[in-house]
Amino acid sequence: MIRLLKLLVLIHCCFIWLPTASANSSWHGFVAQGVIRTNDSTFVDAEEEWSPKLTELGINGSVDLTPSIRLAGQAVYLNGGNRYPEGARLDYLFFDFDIYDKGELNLNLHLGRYKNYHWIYSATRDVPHTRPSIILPQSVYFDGFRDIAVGSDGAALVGSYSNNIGEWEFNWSYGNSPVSRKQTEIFFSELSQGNIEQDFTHQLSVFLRPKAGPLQLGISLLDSDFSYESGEQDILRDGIATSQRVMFTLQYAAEKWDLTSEIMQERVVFRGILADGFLQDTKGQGGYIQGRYFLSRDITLLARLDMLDGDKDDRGGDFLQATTGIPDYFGFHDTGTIGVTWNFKQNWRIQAEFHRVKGTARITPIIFRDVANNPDKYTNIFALQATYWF
Amino acid sequence: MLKGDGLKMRNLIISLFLGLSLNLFSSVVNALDVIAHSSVKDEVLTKSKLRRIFIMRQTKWADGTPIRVFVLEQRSELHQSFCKSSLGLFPYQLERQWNKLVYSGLGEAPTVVRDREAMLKRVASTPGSIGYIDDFTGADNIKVMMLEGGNSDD
Repeated sequence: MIRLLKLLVLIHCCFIWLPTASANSSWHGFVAQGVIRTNDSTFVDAEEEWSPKLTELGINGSVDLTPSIRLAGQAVYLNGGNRYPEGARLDYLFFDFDIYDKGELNLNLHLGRYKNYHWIYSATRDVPHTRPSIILPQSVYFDGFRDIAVGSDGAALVGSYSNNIGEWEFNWSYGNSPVSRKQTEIFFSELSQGNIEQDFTHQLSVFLRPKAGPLQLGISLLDSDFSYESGEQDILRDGIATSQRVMFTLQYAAEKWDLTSEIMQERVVFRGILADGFLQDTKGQGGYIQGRYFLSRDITLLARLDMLDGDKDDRGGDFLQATTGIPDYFGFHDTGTIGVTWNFKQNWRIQAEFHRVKGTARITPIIFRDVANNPDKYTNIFALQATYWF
Repeated sequence: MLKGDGLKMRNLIISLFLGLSLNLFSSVVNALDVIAHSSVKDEVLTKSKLRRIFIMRQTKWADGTPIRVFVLEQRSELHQSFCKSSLGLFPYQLERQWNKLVYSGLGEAPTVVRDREAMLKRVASTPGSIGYIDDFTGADNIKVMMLEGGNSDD
């Protein structure tokens, strides 16, 4: 909480003390608290009780420094158990340069800690009331990578264009994200003594809404390298990991329902890290299809099927089990979800959901698997969360 | 089932589907006007441009003046109708766009006003502003924007 206060003071100073003689500034935020329960799974923690580790607090602000330059930022405090490091962080803080804004084209340059605009929910995955569910589909929105995927330090170009074909959105970004010690433990387990650095993440995405109709299609590409520098008495070795993702997205909007799907292939290469000279090159495949039905203006029902195979050449995890002894169900992660969202008052929401999970591929840590605390192929997650935003 | 009944059933299903998805974009509120402050130099807006303005993609008029967007509360029938008939979007799509702007640092959402009187007052007193209203009969400092192609979608 002290870190959160420091971040809040930092952001406050940025927005108050900057030369804002003619500034137009605004503030928004959210408070969300819930309870979550899992059985025989370390997704949140190893306990089988209802856990309050479902806390999200955030505040963001923006200020117009000149007619074409803005400063925007957001700090959050999270407690999600093992899903991501508990504590405060700066999700984004960037200068927004309005490069072109005329007619059918607008283009903005973001410098600083920019946001990830490349996936359907990536830009606001950290904001509870903008998500369709408390827990996003883990095939695409793996919570273990949350802090790295939510944004990076560097530059981003964000644009939109309209023509006879339809409405286009395009995004490009290049940067890297700091990886904390706690994040390293979440990836590799507490057995690792070294440090992970993200060398770069390079992303590109294009979305098209043909003829401004109900359908939106998109493609996004990601290329990222990580370096691991081992510690003094480390069980791991120096090495490099590469992640490359290709993803296709689809959304269809009707008045009473909508349909969303993202499917992806992700290549993951490990060079070193596990042992000197070690090389592993796999392609995982996954994605989800989600339907929502708007029962009324305030109540939304959700159903979703999310599937992930960690290695498309070992979908059942047999090779994984035969070569490492790790149970085969660590090779995949399939989830069926049903949920309900109730906006019971203006700017107030309650969400409740149930997940039936088959497999544990998206349970952290991902290097040294916690088999003892994840003994079952099938697990359940119940979650209930209340959110207020302004 | 007779062949004719099957055909009727198929037509009914198609009609229901279109009714749920596409045709509900059609207008249900009469005499809906897009209004702007009289200082706005633009006279005509295409549907595409109107949509870009209300999803806050276009934030300046052609002469560089900042655009100030005013909307009614989401529950308002007029807002619902404006979204569907004039923008070709469902209100929840528009709200999703605005949430993305506000909570990812991209920009600001429009200013929400309580009712049509507040809409008239804010548009009349804010240079560069744009909004919408039904049964508009004229007011100081407010002009009606011409929409290219009427109320049909692009």
